[in-house]
Amino acid sequence: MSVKKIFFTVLFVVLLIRISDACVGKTIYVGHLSGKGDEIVGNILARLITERTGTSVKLKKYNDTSSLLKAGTGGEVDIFVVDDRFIAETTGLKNRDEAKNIYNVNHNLIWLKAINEKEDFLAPVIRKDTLKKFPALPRLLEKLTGLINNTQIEELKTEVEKKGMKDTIKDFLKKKSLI
Amino acid sequence: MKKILFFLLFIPSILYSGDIKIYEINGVEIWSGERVIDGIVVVKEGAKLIIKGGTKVYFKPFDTDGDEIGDGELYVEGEIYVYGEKDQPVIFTALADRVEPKMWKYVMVNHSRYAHIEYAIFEGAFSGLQVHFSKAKVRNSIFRNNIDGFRFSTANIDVCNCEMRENKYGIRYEERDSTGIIRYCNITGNEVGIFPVTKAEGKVIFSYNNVVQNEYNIRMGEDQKKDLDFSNNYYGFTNERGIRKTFYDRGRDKNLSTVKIRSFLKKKVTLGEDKCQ
Repeated sequence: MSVKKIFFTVLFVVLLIRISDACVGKTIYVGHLSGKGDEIVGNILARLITERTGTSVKLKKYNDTSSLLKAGTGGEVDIFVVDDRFIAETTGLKNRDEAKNIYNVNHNLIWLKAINEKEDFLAPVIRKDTLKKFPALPRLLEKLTGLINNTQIEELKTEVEKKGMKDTIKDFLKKKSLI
Repeated sequence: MKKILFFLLFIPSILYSGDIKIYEINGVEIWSGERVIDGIVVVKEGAKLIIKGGTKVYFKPFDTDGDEIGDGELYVEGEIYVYGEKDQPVIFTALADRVEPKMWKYVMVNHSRYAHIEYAIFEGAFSGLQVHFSKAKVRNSIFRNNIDGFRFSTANIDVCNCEMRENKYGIRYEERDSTGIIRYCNITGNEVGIFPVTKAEGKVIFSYNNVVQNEYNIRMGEDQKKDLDFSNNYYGFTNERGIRKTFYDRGRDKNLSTVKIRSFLKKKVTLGEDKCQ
C-alpha cells in the first residue's frame, strides 16, 4: 500500500469519527457536588438544557468544591452551580462580586445571572469556551431565576425519595412550564 | 508527509482504544438472513449495499468511549437499498434479549447519492435513521424505541407511510436547506412527536400525518428562530385550542417561535402504501 493510500485511508477514518461524534450531538457536562440537593440542582440544569436544545448532557459528581472548580477550569465540566459556601471555600471571600471577578480572571469561568439572589444564593458558572459554543445557554438558564430555593430543594428531595430523580425533575420542570 | 501520517495514525489508535472494528464495503454487497455488526460497517463512496426482505441486522451493544451510547453503526457514504417486504421487513436492532434505546448508534446516510428504505424496522438505537447531505426515500417503515426515531439535516427526503412511536423524539431535524415531504405517517406515543431543533424554514412539508398522543406533538427548539407551518395534519383534536395545547412553542415560552396551523385535519388519516404513489 502506498504512503498516499494509507494517508487517505487514515484521513477517512479520522473524518468518520468526527462526523459520527457530531451527529450523536455535542455533549455538555454539568458538574455537581455529591450532596442530594446539589445533585438535584445539577439534574434540573441538565434536563432543562437537553430538553430545550436537544443537546446531550452528562452529569459529573465531585466530592468537594476545589475538585469541581478544578474540573471547570480544566474543561472536564462545562457548567456547575455555586452557592455562598462554594464561593467561600474556593476563594476565601464573602463578597460575591470579588469572587465573580476571580473566577473570570483566574479560572476563565463566567458567572451567569443568579438563579437565586437571596440568602440561599445560587449562580450557574460556565466555561468561556462553552459559552462561545452555546451562546443561547444564558438565556435558557435564566428561566430558572426565582424557581429554586432551599425550601424548594427540600421538597424535591422528598419527591426524589418517592419517585426517583428522573421523574421528579421532569415533573418539576413541567409544572414550571419550562419543558 | 511521514510526520503527518504518523500523527493521523496515532489519533485513531487513541479514539479506537476499545478496538472498534471497521468493516468497509467497497463494491456491491447483498445482505440476507442474519447479520451481526460488532463494530462499524462503512459503505464507502461508490459502493452499494442491498438488504433483502426478512434480513435481521443485529448490532452488538458495546460502548468503548463511555458515552452511554452503543458504538455499533452502519455508515453509508455510497448507496443503500433496503428492500423489506410487508410480511418480511428488514429489522435493524440490538443483539439483546431486551432492546432499549441507545444500544447501538444509528444507520447514518451521509453524503450519499441515494438511499432507498422500504419496510424496515429500526429499534434500540440512538437514532434509528439519520440522513444528512443526501437524497433518501423512506417508505412503510417503523421507528420505535430509539432516542431519535428519524433524524435529518441538509437532505432531500421523501418519507411516506411510516410509523414513529415510543421514541424520545419521533422526528428530529435541523432543516438547514433540506427539502422534501413527510406524509401519511403515524407519529405517536413519543415524548416529542416532531422536534425542529434549529435552522428550519419550512422547506420540508409535513402533511397528512397523524401526530397524536405524544407528550408534545411538536416542540420548537430553543434556537429555532422562524415560525413554522404544520398545517394539514391530524393532531387528535377537532379544535385549534385543543391542538395548541399539544405544542411547546411561543404559546408557552415567549422566546420560542410559533407552530402555525392555517388548517388542520379533523379526522384521523388513513394510511397505506397505496398513498405513496
